[in-house]
Order: sequence, then structure tokens, then C-alpha cells
Amino acid sequence: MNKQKESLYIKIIKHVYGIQGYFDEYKKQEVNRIGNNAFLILFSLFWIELLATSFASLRVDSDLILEILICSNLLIFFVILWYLAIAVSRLNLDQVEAYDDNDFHLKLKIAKKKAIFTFFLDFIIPRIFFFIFDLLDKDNELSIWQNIISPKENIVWGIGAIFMGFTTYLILKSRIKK
Amino acid sequence: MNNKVKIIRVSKDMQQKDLALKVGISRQTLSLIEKGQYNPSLKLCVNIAEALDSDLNTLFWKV
Repeated sequence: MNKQKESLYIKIIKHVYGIQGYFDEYKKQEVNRIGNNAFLILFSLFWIELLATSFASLRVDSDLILEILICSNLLIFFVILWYLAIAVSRLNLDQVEAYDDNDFHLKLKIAKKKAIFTFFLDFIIPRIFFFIFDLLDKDNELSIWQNIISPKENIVWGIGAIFMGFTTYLILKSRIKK
Repeated sequence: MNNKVKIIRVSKDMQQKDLALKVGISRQTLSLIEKGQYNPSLKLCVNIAEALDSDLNTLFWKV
């Protein structure tokens, strides 16, 4: 087998674009093309944003301009992410190749582990954030312990995390190609 | 670019996955090369030729 150890740079690219399997020359070429297109979209949108906000600043309050800038930057960020996801998915670069039944079951096992990890991540991280927000909230009269074991919060975030974990599993499973 | 990769591979009773693993590319890339939908680099052509115990002329020249 001709497989070489992947550098950190390649690992980051694969993670950002959601590419699975060998990062061979075909995938490299497609990633370069997608990256160039993403940059052109980003450049155009930022240019439009700059012009629009510059003209708007002559007539509109500066606080409002700042809010518009923050929102439009977020929107541009999601447009780019959406483009990357669609482009990678259309070229099937996110597909996981299983070579036989054993390999298929192994990859299914990995998908399950990732789904469980997503479940914990989507449960624990928001809980920590909201726990901190609750502590900082002056109107909140609950104790630390009450905030941690709050049934309502735990059930809501638990259901959300289960949904995310299950969805992750289904997506990862659908990407495994025998 | 048309080529004889698939013909030679099948004649050697080799599966796509075996050749892909041997060369160090994905099955998807090999499939695209065999269909003539992706033009591999010279380096990859040489690797494929070596993996199939063949040569560039047989695989890629005037097909």
C-alpha cells in the first residue's frame, strides 16, 4: 500500500471540507477549485458589503451599521459554508469507501462512536454555557446545584443532543459506500 | 482521456479496491480514471502502470 502519513495541514483541510478517505490528487485538485470559487464568492460579497455599508453610513446611524455588518458577516460565513458543503457533496468527496463486509461494519462502528461523541458534545457544551449564563444572571435565584440538575434544562438539551446524535449517525451511515 | 486501465486490470483479475489500495488512491478516483473522466498526473500514471505490471504505452498511448 502506498499510503503516506497525513500532515496536520492535510488533516485540517480534510476536516474543514469534510473530505473522507485518501486525499489523493483528484481530491486535491477539486479542493483547490472549490476553494478558489469560495474565495471569489467571499471577495464579491465582502466588496458588496463594503460598498453598501459605506453608502449607508452617510444616512444611517453608526450603531445600526455595526449591527448590519455583524449580521451580514455571519450571513456571508454561512453562505460560504453552505457552498463548501454542497460542492463537496455533489462530487461525492465526503463518501467513505468500505472495501468489504468487515470494513463496512468497522466504519459503521466508527460512525456510531462519532454519533455518541456528537451527543455528548451537544449536551455538555451548551449546558456549560447556559450554566455560566445562569450564574451570571442576576434575576436567577437558583443555587449552583439547582442549576446543574435542573430537570427542564437537562431534558430539553438531552432531547436536542439525542436528535443531533441520531442525525449525525444517519448522515455518516448514508456516506458509507460499499 | 481514454485508456486501457480497466481492460488490463480485469485481465489481471484485479478488483478496483485492490488496485486503488496498491496505488494509494481512492476507488472513486480510480473509477474516474478508468472512465476517462479524470486525467491523472504522470506520476500517478507511472504508479498505476507499475501496480499493473504494465507500461505507459500500453495503458495510455493512442487508445
